[in-house]
Formats: sequence, structure tokens, C-alpha cells
Amino acid sequence: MTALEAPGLERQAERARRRVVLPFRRAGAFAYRYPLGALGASIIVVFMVLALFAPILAPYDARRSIALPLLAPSTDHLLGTDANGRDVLSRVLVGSQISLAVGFSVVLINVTLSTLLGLMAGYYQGVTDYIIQRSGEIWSAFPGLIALLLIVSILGAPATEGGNLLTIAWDMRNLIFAFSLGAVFGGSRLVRGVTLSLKNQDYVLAARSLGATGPHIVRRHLLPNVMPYVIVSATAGLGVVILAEAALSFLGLGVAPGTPSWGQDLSGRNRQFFDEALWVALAPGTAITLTVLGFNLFGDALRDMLDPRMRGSGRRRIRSDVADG
Amino acid sequence: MRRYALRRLAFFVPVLIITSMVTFLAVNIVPGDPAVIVMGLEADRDALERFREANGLNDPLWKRYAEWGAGMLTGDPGRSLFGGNIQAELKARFPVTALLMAFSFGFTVLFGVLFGLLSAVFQDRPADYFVRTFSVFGQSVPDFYTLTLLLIIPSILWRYSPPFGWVPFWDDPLRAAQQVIPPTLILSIGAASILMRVTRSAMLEVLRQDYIRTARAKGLRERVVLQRHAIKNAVIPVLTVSGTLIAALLGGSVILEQITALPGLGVYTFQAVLQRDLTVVMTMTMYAAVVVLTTNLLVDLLYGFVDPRIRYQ
Repeated sequence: MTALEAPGLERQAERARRRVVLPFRRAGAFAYRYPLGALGASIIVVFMVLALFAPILAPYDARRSIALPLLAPSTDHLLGTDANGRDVLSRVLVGSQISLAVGFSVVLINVTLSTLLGLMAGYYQGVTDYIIQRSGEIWSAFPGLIALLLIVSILGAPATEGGNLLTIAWDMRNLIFAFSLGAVFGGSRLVRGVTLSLKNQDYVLAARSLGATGPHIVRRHLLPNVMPYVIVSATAGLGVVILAEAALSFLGLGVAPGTPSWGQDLSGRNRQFFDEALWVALAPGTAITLTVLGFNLFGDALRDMLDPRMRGSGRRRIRSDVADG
Repeated sequence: MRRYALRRLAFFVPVLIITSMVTFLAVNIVPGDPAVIVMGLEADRDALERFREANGLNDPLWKRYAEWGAGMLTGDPGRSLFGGNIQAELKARFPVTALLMAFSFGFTVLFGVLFGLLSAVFQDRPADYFVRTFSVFGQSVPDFYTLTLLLIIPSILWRYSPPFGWVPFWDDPLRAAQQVIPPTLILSIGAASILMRVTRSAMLEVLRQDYIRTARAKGLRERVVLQRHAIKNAVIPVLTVSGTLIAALLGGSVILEQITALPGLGVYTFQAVLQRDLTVVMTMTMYAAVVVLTTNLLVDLLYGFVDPRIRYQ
């Protein structure tokens, strides 16, 4: 107690308290202002926790037939069993690992590469810009799904024995590579545009006139200001990647057959029995929809927060303009 | 206008050529010998060699590219590795995919623009909340899931399955429409949701401009303000996104054809990828790229048409 009375320690304690409290207060303000965004964030958190602890939470082995096929939901099998007698709940839980592992890895790679490329193209312009822009245009002419199918069919559909998110991401590297290749160019266009509009701002010119070098300006002045846009597009991108992975697995070219995956559980042998056992289709379908919904709601709220022009309604603003003038 | 159009066209041709080169290279540097893929691992050496010779696989890369390119230009892409006539397949399958694309793109633009406008005009009212809720759900639900539900829900509720299958449109328009409308309507949900959101935000942006306030202040009726002043200025982003949605719908048509067993170009391409039928993959990729590039060109030209300011830049 006596130690705390010393003024230096007290200030330290105050600072530590603030560090703990402030994020919570900010999250509270966010939830108050954007209730739907908060809903999205909670959906994301729930699915992330489920994915992290899926091996512990899953009541049965998701890969093996453990009961009669097509059992209706009951206390033994909360979501019933599928056409091969596997526990649907366990498969949905373990499937969340693949969706999220692929989604986060792809977005992480894309964000890093496209931010780098976009900053270079926007700041240095010239030949670098020209090459990045034109290759982006040519890439965007290729039909996305066919390109993905081709790459995965060459590299082979990845299988995984399960484990934690990191080992699963490593097992899924073929798939992650295929997705990363495509999305890089689209993202760099966004960052490039923002960079172009920022590079002639006063603070950049001031930094340059003080003798700052190109890399320094890009790192210390442009990167922090580009980040909000990058984060918003990454959040929306996660939903898109999860949908695309599910579509590819649905077509039979995402993950190897038998691997628990939301897209794959909606295809194959299960399809013949959907009209008798609707739960087999509803469980993975709802899981995909909810997860992507979470990312979309959260992303929308972040976008609104970033774009002050879209706050409030147009009419109200006109009225306040009139009142001011 | 003509100079603007010519400049866009001049850019179109080199991009097309480079795209064709990239396609050709990408498909041909794929590991795996096409002869082995077709004839199987047990085939003897002489048979494999004869196959390579017959299909020109021993020729240098540039010669094969030139032959394929010439074939594409004259409209005859040649034969598939498995011996099928690509041109005949295209002729039979094109109408199916064209019809699917026409309907799904039509629904996308119709509902996307209509509901987007409604949502912006009635901002923060029930109509707006409804459209926004629909839009965020529509972007989250996968098309293969909704299409699957379309197949099973009616069969559970009414023991009725939608009549999937294919009759040529002009033989029996009513039956063809019956078969095509439900799945394309479902397929367009995702794309329409994106377009709704874009239309809404473009409209909201325009509605808070000074000239809209001026138009209202001088006593124009709301209908005139919207029709004459607002909508015209909100067209550009809607046009851009509509163009990109065509590429997305092309991908969606692969899934739609796969689920409903329609004999279109999407499943043809998908099957070719599975079998590693490289000639078909190459040809179809190129055609898809032509569609996407042509759409981009059209959108560019439409910009100049819609907004006269653009062509002077």
C-alpha cells in the first residue's frame, strides 16, 4: 500500500488502468453507435472461438461414421447425422477451422502484398505504376472461378488431418496460394487510389521539404493513412474468400473428399438425401451464411465509421446547413 | 466522341493479344503430359508418341500458339484432346449459357437498381431498412446453398420439383421460361444485393449535393428532382459495378449449370478442367476473357455517352 502512495507509481497505476479500460469503453461506444456492426463482431468472435476449440468441442470424430446414417437431430446428435453416419455438429465445428484458416491466411497475404504494391504504384508512379496497373487489368480479364479451378486442379486439392488453425492453414497451402494470386491486383488499385490522393497533401509536402526520403514518407506518413481503407476492405474480403472457398469445395475442387468442410458437406452423397434430411443441408449452409454475415455487418460499420459523409441522413444535414447559413 | 472510342479500341487489341499469350502459356506450362492424361499411364511409348505427333504436341511452343491463335480468329478452335469437336459443342451449348446470363443479368440490374433507388429515396424509413437487410443477407448467402434450397424446399412442402432441364427457347418459350426463371432469379440475389448497395450510396451522395438543394428550393416537384437531376448523376458507379458483375455471374453460371444439370458452357469448361482437356480450357478461358474485356470496353464507351465531361479528359 505504501508503495502505491509514491506519486510515480500512482501515475503508472493510473496509466495501466486506462490501458485496460479504454479499449472496453471504445468498444462500448462502437456498439452503441453501430449495433449491427457489434452484432457482426460478436458473430465473428463466436465462430473464432468455435474454430479455435473445435477439436475439444466436437462431440464425435468428424471424419468417421459413428452412427446410423441420416438420424434426425436428437440429444445424442444435436444436429443429426449425415448420409455417411457422421455427426453433423462435429463436422460443422471442424469445418469452421478450414473456412477461417483459409480466409484469414488469404486476406493476410493479400493485404500485405496489395498494400505494398499499391503504395509503390501510387507514390512512385512511372514505370512501376504502369506495370502493376496493366498486369492488374489483364488478370481481371480472366474468369476468376476457372482460374481458381485450374490452379487447384494442377496443385491438387489439399487434405488435412486436423489440428490447430496454423497446421490446417499449412495443409491448405495450395488453396491459399490459388486465392492469393487472384486478389492481389484488385486490392492494389484501392491503395493506389488513396495514395495518389494523399501524396500531395500538405503534410507529405512538408515532410519532403524537410528532406525525408521516399521510403520514409511511405512508411511514416502514407502507410498509417492508408490503413483504415485496407482494414475495411480486408474485413469485406474475408467474407468473399470464405464464400469462394465454400463454392470451390462444393464443386469438389476445394478440399480433398472426406475432409469436413462447409462447402463440401452440401455436395456429394449428401445431396441425394436432402429432401428426407433437411438438417444435413441447413447446418453447413447456415454456418457459412452466418459467418459471412458477421464479416459483412462488421465491415459495413467500419466503412460508415470511416466515411463521415455517409453519417446521418441527407435531409437532416441540408436542414442544418440552412440553419447555419 | 469518336476519338475517345478509337482510343479505347486501340487499347483493346493489345490487351487481348497479351491475354491470349498468358492463357496459352499458363495452360501449356502445366505439369503433366497431355498424351499421358488422355491415353493413361499404361499406354506404350509408340502410342504416346503417335498421339503427340497427331496433336502437334511436339511442335515448338510459338508454332502451336500461332496455330491456335489463327484457329481462334477464324472461329475454329480445333479439336479437344479427347477428340471432340469444340466448335460443335460451342454451337450446342452457347444458347443455354446465353439465356442464363441474359436472365440473371437482367434480374440483377432490374432489382439492384430499382431497390437501390427506393432505398436511397426513402432513407431511414421501413423500405430502406428492408432493402438494406435484404442486401446484406444477399451478399452473405452462397448461391449454391440457395439454389440447393430451391431444389429441396418445394419438394418437401408440396412434393413438387421445379422442371429443370433444357428445351430450346424458341421451341417452347413458356416452358423454357418456367425452367430458367426460378434458378436465374436465385442466382441473381448476390449480384443484385451488391448493385443495390452501390446504387443506394451513389444516390445518397448525389442527393446531398448543392444542385439538388437548389432544384428543391426553386420548387421543382420531387419526381422531377429525382428523374432529371439526381438519377442521371448517380449512373456512373452503377455502370462500373454492373460491368464487373457480369464476370461474377459467369462464375455463378458454372455452379448453376452444375446443380441443375443444364448442358451449358459452364459445365463444359468445368468438366474440361477436371479432365485436364487443355485445348478446351484454353479456348473457353479465352472466350470468357473476350466477354469480360468487351464488357469493360462497352462500359468505358458508355461513360463517355452518359457523362460528356469524361471524354475530354
